[in-house]
Amino acid sequence: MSGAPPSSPGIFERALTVPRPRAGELALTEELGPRGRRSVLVSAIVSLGLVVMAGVWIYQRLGAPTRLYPKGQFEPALWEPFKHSETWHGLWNGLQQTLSAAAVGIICSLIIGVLMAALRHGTGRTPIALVLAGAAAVVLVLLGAAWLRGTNPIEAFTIKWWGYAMAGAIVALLVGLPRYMSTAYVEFFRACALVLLIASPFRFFGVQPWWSVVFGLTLYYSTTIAEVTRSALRSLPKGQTEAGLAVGLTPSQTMTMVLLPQAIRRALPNLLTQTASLLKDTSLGFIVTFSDLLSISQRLAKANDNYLPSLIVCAAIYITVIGIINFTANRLQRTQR
Amino acid sequence: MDLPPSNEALVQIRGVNKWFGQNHVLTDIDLDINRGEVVVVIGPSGSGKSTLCRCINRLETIQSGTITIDGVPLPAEGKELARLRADVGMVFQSFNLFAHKTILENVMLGPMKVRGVSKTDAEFQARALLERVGITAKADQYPAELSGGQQQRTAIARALAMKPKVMLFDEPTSALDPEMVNEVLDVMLQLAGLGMTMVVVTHEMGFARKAAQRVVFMDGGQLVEVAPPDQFFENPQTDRARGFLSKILPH
Amino acid sequence: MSTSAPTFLSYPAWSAVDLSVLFEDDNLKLLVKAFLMTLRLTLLACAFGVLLGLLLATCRVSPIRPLRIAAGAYTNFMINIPIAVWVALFFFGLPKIDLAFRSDDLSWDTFRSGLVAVALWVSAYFAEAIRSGINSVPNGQAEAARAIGLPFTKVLGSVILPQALRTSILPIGVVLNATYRNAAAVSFIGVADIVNVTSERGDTLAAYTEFTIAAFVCYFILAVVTNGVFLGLDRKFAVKR
Repeated sequence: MSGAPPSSPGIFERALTVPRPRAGELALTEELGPRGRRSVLVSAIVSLGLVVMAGVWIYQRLGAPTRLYPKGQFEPALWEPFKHSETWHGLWNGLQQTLSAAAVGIICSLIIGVLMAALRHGTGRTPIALVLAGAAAVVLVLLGAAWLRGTNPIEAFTIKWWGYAMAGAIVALLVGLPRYMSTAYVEFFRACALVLLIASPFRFFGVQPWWSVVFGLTLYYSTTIAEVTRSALRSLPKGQTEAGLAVGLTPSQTMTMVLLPQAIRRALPNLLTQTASLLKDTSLGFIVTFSDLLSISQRLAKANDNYLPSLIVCAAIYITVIGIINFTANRLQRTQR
Repeated sequence: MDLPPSNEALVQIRGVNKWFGQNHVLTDIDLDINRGEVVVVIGPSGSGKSTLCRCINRLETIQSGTITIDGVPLPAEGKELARLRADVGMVFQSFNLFAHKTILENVMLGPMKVRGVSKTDAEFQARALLERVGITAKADQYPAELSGGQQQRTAIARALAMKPKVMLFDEPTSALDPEMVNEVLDVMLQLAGLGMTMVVVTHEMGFARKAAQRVVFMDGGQLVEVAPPDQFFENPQTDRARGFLSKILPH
Repeated sequence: MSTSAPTFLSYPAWSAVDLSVLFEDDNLKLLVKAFLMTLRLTLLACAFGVLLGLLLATCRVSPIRPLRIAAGAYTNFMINIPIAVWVALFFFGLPKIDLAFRSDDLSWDTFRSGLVAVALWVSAYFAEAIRSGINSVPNGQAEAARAIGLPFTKVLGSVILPQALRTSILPIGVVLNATYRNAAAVSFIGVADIVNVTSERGDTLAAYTEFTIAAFVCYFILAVVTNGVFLGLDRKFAVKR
């Protein structure tokens, strides 16, 4: 006997059921016998019906006349504003605010996050790490001085306090604090509520909303990016470090030339997911009256009395932009496997 | 076993064909395995020997032909299939011990959930089996804490706990470090000595010589040669078998 | 504090921060109530979200394609649209199509809308966490369970789900932690949660800094406790491989 296997499932069955699990998925059900295949097919037809019914219900609900909108939500007058360029101009302005804050935020987060990951992963005694730790110690001492003297940090820049700051920096260098400092930074800001980190610069220092959003996003997302990068660093084979040192690179060079490039490539899908997440979180800018896409949509909705159409358009814009990022992340993940 | 002795083979495989997509992996397989017999299946990788073994308890489906175990055709699904599988023990290449259960619980799970044995009885039996395979001391540890050889011996105990009519071994020593191979083979030899019906897919020729009543040589999805071990190793009848043996046997 | 808009150089000196304002009048009581509101909202939403997430995850790994596609579409919709948009849609949008009518009690209306929005939103994240937990169980575990004769329901109930859920402990903790913070979006519609109350009080009493610090402390407590609990659970139950 030879040739193709007999009794392959029909086109109908193939469209409605997933007989074999995809790669990387657990085979929850084993290959089914005729009885099992029939019952899966029947459930597939029933559930298709239910899904279609749910869709129809939502559609009807939107179109049904209500007290406030006697002609339902599909009434042309409600969608009329979207034929005018001013509406789109407004939305574009909002989207620009959202995108620019997200772009600057993710760039700053990447720089700080990768740095923190490298500091936390490394031995902590490389020159770069020690200089950074020293600088952080100076800033901390000066902030402390400001607290004690009841002034702002600019006024605390006196000779005496500079002396203390330098002493702090030298202690930091001697003890080799960078590792603990980056750990403290990551663990602290990771536990903070993002919405408060966004609100703080605005409330404490009167920073402009856009900057406030960027600042808050950077503080928070630099920690998540540090974690993502660090786990990628940890997933690299140990031999990579040893090989780097063995060919005569310094620890810093091993980190920047051998480990980080590989780790970032590995972490790329996760980094993109973080980017999508950061973009979504720009909408928390409402706490500082940030004029982003969401708040512009709300304003338009109020002006045109078309709340649902406006928010649906707003959601559609979000889902398109973020969908593109997530799609790219998934593609990358698949090609990496 | 306490079943009435019969002349009928315990496992009957008749005209079995299997395809993976367009790939014909089993071609017209006919094989009988008698009660108390140890059959060792050998062959190059990709010859379909593992697939054949997995077809016997329907972990792989076949597209044509029949497989009968103790006079009962292999059911296609459902409770009947589960009941039949309970009578066929299986030992995997990668052990597959339940990672969230202790060694003892691994051995107790089947009797309790399938046979409805009480917890005390199941534990008593499990401890006896663990003693037989020599891992009493590790009973309360988790699989990840054991060596490969210990895990595989536990897997054998887990299969034996179901009091199977036949045991399938799918390359039981291939994933083991060399120094652990013998401890597993010893348990299998002991089992063969007690008259268990066994189908063993393996690369261990020493085991085949010592324990097998028959050696089955597979290549390209076909049964090429079936013979007693002495005859097969000393005087293989086919070119393919000769070629295979010349590659693997020590010079 | 100066009346003109504060700039970086004129911001109040650190020593002017006087946390005693938090203990004046009934401010502390308000803070505790706000803390409990966030806690209640998050825990209720998560309880509902885990159940729905389990259902969604089951749909996504089932062999029934319409369920796979529907659950996947739902998950992507929820995850790819910011929570603030969902909260706004549920609170302001649903009454426009005669769903979720306003009652006399505005605080109940806002809480209800916020709760439903957060619960539906977080269910998508739970679904993802549980699904990846299920897919992290090696196929051999299911095969071994079948080979000793366990029927489908027991393969699932005794072997696959226990392992999948134990693997999901940490991811579920991460989702819970994210929920506390993202649930702050409900302050957007006026639910009296930590962010809402501290903003309002800080504004009224001209003590933004003090109340923001109080809010930080509240979220810190939630984060630290949740982390501790889930790390402990993970250490106790995680599957070693």
